[in-house]
Amino acid sequence: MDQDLRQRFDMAVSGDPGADPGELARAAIADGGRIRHRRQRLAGVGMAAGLVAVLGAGAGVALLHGPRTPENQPVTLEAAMAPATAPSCTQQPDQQTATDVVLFLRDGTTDKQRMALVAKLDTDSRIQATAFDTKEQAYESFKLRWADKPELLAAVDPDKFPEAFLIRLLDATQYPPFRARYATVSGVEQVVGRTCSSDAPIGGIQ
Amino acid sequence: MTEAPTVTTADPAPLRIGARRRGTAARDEEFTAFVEAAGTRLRRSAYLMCRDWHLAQDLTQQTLAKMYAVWGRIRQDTNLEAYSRRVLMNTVFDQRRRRSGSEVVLAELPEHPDRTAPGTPELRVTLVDALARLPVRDRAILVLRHAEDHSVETVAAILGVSASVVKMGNARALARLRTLLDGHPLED
Repeated sequence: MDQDLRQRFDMAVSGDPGADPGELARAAIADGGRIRHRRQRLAGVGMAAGLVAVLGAGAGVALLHGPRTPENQPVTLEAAMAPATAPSCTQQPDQQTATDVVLFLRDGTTDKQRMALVAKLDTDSRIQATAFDTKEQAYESFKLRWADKPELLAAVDPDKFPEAFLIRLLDATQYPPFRARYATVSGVEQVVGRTCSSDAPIGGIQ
Repeated sequence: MTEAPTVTTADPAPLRIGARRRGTAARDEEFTAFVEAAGTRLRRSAYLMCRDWHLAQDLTQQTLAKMYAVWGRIRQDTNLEAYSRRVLMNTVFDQRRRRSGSEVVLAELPEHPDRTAPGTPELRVTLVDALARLPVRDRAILVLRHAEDHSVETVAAILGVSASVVKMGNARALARLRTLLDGHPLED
């Protein structure tokens, strides 16, 4: 039975018109590059709709990392939605020193608030590099992270994810004043810092 | 302070990301090698899931693009073959949900599949059509288990279900497939 079936499956794809793998790779690199770059773009215009505040206190504490296995399932949707900490970062947020920081924005943050924040970050000499995570990008990461949990994917939509600025600091010891500076800025929901090695994605989340 | 973000309030341009470009060539080369090794099989499995070579190409490209976007964090310590199948199947499930099954290639089939004599070229159409009549998850189990020869455990890992779910789904789907291919029963 199985052997016969295997042959039938082989026959079923015998009409394969073929495709140039090099071309396939180039197309995937182009598309995949765009997915990557969305993460680095300021694309917040008009995304202030939706009032569901997803990230409560402490929800940015992401304990999830690495490939998903049935063993380390989250207990709540909130936990599943929290971005995964990069493997080369401290898994728990740091308070005293941090190389990488995520500024989660409140839902409903206005363009004006966002741009004011950009202006502050732009002139902050403690920052080595900055990126911006859109709701869509956070959702894309979530989808990949939970590719094997369609029921989770069905439960959320991009609008429920927080926007975030991803930041790498020049000096980890500058984190406490940095945190203090931005925690109270209008539009900022939460500041989460982690200590990462230099190969981690900016912000320490993935 | 050479790495300061260069964004202005007037222009939502990409922020400058230091060190991001380093190693791009090596990464692309490695990724291309993976596509060359795995792309054809991935595309054929996509075809078995959707009955359409063009859509299969599209699904494969989407899958590979998603993988490329996160290549830096999956290239090591990840079973890329299993991972690619999981992303592919998720892409198939996702596409199906988004289009509510209205897409021709994923649409309901006529009540009776073509009945053609064994050994004719139409036979392969019959199998793929029969597959398409199965629930998408059962189809995924059959494709991964029988077209790709993955173990029950690997299929379970790819689909994120238990081995017993795979075994049950496999038995159910095979029985259904036999019925659908009634005119040409699979040999036991």
